[in-house]
Amino acid sequence: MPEYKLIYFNMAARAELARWCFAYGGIEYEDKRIEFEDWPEMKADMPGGQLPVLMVDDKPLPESLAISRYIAKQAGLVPEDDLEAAYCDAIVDTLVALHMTVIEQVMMLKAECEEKKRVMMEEVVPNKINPRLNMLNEKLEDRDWVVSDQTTWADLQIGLLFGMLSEKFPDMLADYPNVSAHVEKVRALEPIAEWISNGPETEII
Amino acid sequence: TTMPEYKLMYFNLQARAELTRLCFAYGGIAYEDDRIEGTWAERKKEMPGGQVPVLLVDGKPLTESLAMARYIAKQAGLVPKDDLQAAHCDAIVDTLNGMMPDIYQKVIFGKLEPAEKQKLLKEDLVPNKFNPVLNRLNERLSNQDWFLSDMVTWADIAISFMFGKVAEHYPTLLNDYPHVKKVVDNVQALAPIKQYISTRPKCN
Repeated sequence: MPEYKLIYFNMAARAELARWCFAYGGIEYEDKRIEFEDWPEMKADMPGGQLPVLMVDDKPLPESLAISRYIAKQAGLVPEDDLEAAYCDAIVDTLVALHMTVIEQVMMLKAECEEKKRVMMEEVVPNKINPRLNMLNEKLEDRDWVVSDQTTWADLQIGLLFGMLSEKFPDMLADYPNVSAHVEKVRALEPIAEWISNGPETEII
Repeated sequence: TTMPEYKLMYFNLQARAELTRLCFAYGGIAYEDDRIEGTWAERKKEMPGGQVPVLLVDGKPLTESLAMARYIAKQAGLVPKDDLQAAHCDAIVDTLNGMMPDIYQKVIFGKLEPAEKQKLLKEDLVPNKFNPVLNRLNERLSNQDWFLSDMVTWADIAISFMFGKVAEHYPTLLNDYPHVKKVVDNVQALAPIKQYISTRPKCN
């Protein structure tokens, strides 16, 4: 097995999916979390000048989704069938874009807390989040896992994103019982539950 | 095994569908290239998530431009078997895809006058967004023919498409990056790609 070092800030954001895949697969890695003050010095050494970066035997692999997909494969979380793998890719892409929308349009908004909440509840939730929740709720109606008959990194992403969001916005999943149940199921998977309870505390999602 | 029936639905635009189209072409894979004209409001309802492109595979929809491009790239033999090599291709494609809003929203469909667009390219987009990527790629490609050295991958196709596109609007883009220019040109010269480029509908 190669030596893995995942370099990121002390937040969930763009590295947490990879961390969940590492946990699920029981794969050892160094979970390096750097301080913002230390970033400017390191930036020039990182391909693309961005984090996260995954060092694989000291060679850098950039881009959070390339990293996550690679570790997902090592962890047995990517289907063998090309088309099923593509459905996983599509779900992850959609949900990551949703996460980024929440970060950019709500979390990073230069406004008071009340205004951020308003934007979230009156704009982002009904226009962006609910349509996706609706789609997922339908998809999960008669299935154990969202793609094929195995746990995939798409299931992990559902548990990760909607777990984090529903902690901050408690009624988010009220109308989407299949998604709510799925989030709980994923978060209860032994290695994931272990990581959630024992992993570093991060405020920033 | 028989090949599935493919239908790709998008606007009459390159943008987020062209990488998939180029992979189809490279693999000699038949598909219906459905270009929506003028009736997006009507067609939107039939698209899952209300977005395009959508790839129908035996009638079942696959969304997200990079998921479908990666899938067709695999069918066309453009994705390496080794997981780590595949990941490096994924990474550069993601980076290049990140340039799409700059190219399409700011330059091609932007509201600025042509002279202002050139200024935006020259003073901001080229030095700040494109050159850092070009620099990295030029170094990597200095000793090898393709992004992954000995095989053409969808990474090379993406490099050729994206930087070819920018160069259409900023012709001196690749002057300082001859190794990237080599890949841009060599991809376009591959027989099935050359054939596709010469016969595809003219659009942005």
